[in-house]
Amino acid sequence: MLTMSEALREAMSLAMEERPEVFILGEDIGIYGGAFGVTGDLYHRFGSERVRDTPISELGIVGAAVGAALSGMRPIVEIQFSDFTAQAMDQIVNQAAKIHFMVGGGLHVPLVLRAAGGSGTGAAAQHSQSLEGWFANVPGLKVVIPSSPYEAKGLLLSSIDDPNPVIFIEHKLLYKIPGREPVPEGAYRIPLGVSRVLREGKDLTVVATGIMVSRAMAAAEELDKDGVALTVIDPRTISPLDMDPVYASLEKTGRLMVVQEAPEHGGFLNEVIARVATGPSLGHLIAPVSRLAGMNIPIPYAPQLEKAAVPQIPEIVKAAREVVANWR
Amino acid sequence: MTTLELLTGHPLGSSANARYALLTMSRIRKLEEAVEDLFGRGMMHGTMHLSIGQEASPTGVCMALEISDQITSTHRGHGHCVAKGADLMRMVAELLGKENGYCGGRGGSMHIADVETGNLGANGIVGGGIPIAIGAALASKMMKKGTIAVSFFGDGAMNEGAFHEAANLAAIWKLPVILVCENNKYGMSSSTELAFAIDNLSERGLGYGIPGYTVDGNDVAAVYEATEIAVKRAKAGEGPTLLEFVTYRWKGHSRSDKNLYRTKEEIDEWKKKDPILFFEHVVRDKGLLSDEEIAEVHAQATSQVIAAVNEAMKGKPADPATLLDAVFKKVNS
Amino acid sequence: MSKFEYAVIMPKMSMTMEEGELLGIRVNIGDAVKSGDILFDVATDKIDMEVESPADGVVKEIVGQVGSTMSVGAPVLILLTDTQVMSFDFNTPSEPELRTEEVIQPAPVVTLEPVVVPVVEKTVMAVPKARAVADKRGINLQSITPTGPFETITYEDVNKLSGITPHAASVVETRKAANRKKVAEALELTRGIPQMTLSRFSSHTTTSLEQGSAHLVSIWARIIRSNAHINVSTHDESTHDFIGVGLIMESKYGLAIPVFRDPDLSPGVTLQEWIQTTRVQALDGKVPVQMLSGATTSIFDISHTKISSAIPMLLPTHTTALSVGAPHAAFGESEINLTVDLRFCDALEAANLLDQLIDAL
Repeated sequence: MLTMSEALREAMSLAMEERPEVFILGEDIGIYGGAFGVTGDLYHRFGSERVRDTPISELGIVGAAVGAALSGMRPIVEIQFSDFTAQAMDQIVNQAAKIHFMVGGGLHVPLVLRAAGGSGTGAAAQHSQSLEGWFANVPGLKVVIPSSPYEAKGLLLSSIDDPNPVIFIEHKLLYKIPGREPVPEGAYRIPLGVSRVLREGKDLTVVATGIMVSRAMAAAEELDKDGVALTVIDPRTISPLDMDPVYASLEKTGRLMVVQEAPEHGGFLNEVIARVATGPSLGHLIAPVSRLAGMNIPIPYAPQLEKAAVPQIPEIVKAAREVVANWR
Repeated sequence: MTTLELLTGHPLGSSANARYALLTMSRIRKLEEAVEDLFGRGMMHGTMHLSIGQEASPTGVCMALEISDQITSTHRGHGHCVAKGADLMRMVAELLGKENGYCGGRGGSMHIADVETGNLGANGIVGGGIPIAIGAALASKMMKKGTIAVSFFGDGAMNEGAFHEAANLAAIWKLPVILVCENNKYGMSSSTELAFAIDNLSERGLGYGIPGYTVDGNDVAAVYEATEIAVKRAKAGEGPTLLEFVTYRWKGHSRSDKNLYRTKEEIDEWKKKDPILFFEHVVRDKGLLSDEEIAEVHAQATSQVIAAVNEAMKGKPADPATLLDAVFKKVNS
Repeated sequence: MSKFEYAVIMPKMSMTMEEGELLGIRVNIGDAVKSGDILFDVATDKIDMEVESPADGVVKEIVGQVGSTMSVGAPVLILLTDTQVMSFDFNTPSEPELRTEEVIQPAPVVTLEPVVVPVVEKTVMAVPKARAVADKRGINLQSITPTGPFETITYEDVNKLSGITPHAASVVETRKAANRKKVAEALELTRGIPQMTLSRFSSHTTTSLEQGSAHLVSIWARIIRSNAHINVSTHDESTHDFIGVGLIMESKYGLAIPVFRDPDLSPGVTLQEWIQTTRVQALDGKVPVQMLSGATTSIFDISHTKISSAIPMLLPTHTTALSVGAPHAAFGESEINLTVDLRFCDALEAANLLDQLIDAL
């Protein structure tokens, strides 16, 4: 079973073989193989022009990627930690996201920005954030969060194909773990903007992103023993967001739970709740919405503190059990 | 070297080129005056950043470029856009928020791009266009297009981190790019004397391993000559060049600028160095254009601008109904 | 002679500015000015500005009054010049939609009388689906005991509700009214149809409801079967391949007209049971869906009541309608009325049908 790093590498390799205009740039991605080993041996296979090491200049390299994308290339930028996107914000938010709109359609930016996010490695506050909410709130960016190696490969290939800027956020903890689903050989594409229902159960609809998807699935298996049946939905693309499977599921379960790692206040999955609350789906609810999210704190360092800061499996199990029991 | 020396046997020293240079500078001047008038009457929304007094820089640079070469521009970008070959009517239509403007009314003055003439766009962020030009040059090199990229920016942008990062990348990768700093002595209100500890901004090139030249930005022939040197370097694969064109803007930074940070005397002094009057003097002196021909060029520029404005006014205002569809490019289109 | 007259205007100095004050004029009529010379000073609340001459020329006329407030674009003075100044006076008002930043006038201060706040009933807490269900079924949430957290009515609480509570009675009333309205609307549709009613008397009708009108229904169906041309739907003139007889009966929400298909093909006892079962269902408001359509005739059997006759009205798409009244106290004969749609059955045929019925009874 492939790990997520391997799946991502395969995707990039296939894309670079298919299209000469695809190239990767980032810090330590060349001979070093990438801080998390994702680019691996691509440097040896495709050379230093197409797997291009850069100095520590996030703003400069994202800007260069924008310029290259405007001129016919399809760059993949690797930002070592998603926290460092802050250095490059002007080129991401003010330039890449807006150029197509501002110039009235004559230019577009086919750029993929891959970044490693999330906590659990003891890297502490400035190297552990989940910032997808920032980007989801900027019109003109697509935001994708793979939850497994299978998702990662198919979604990355689709992101490279997309003529618009895509922010592709990978969870650090998922890089080295083999997935539960086999990753097909060769190229396959998972369309952007399509949510996936991983399992169905009549008691509760759980919408989760990133690493919370596998935690929700583990919680669901635990709850099966007690006869509490969960539906788990992974949006995969959080912007644009596909809510249809959520609405369909709520008709059957009447209970909604959202689970994300990002801090609760202003977090992205609030959008899921908002769409339910502002539409006819509200009439299906037989319980208030449950929201499990990171604490409103910077990620702390010590392992027990770090774990406590974000939702874990037992928490999901407990919350699910409670809502199903209390709201009949 | 003075312009008089430059013009001897100089490519710009032909009547045709002299005419073209004068016409371009005049078109920019007239367009900016028209924009100022329309804005003053409340017919244009937002704000305008006029480049009156700085016409020589875009004119001289773009005369040394091909149409397929690319430029990125600034918030004060009307001159760059015109010099690179833009359609005046579509520029004005954009400023008037019309459907047939360059950006369909969605971009405004600071975001006009003209793909066909290689203009990757003006930019509302100081320094925003510099890394983008570096990227365009990178693409040209990787795709072996043989074109070069030019980044126009001001003295203010040289202090943005983006300049530093982009300049370094251009240097280490030997990219076919020209970094053009139009030093008009002021950021918004901060003078270069206060914002820099050096006198000639081109000296900063040294820090990156890039050759730098400081040139009189109001002398269109000198601008052209310097750009030619940089173009040759770029095409020979020798990498980037930093050009500093010293010039001056007559009008405030934008419309609401009261010019508190400079004196009327300073403005008047610089108005005497009007790039258009200077060039007229030179070409008259060299026998390249007669008084009548000069007047004719200005009349032509005037009528072109007037026609553009009148035509643009007839356009339909941009329709909000199409906004949502305009954010993303459709996949497979 | 100067070629152009150019009006130097009150300029727009900021996005929100609509008018400015003319502070002072620095030139006089007849003065020669150079491009860049200051002509006059203007101010808004935020900015003052010196307005320069756009070209060399001579001051021809002074239009603005010092100290006055002028609109953006209004001419302050007229210049005579040889230069063609870039000037565009399209005389269109600034697009009104651009004025998004209106200056908002502060509301005038008003002293309010102290208001007596009426005591408002506390809102009932209920989950959204419970509200939706309660609303649909006309259940008053106040009548439900909540079992959920924070005293919230759960979905289960609302579903548990069965039987008629004082508030449920209102549900029946609402449904009855709706039903009545529906029937009335249906009859409205048939009012314009040319129809005729014929009557005959018969001494062979039953007065017992237990007999369930089965006899009548069966015979009438048989008669229609042998007069196939009236077994059509008047809506599209399609013939049915069965005989559908609607029997008007009492239901939970007023009158219902369940349709019995091919009742003459059922043995008498079976038909009786069938009709009886249907009566029970109707009283419960639960007539099966398949019995709600397909009739081309209807029977209004009031022979068990004291009503001597009722003129039956054609229901939409039906060709005939039959009613059977109570037997005469003295003579023992019931008045039978047959109404026909003249487009499908003329008076002679109608008389014929009636004869057949009387003979069969």
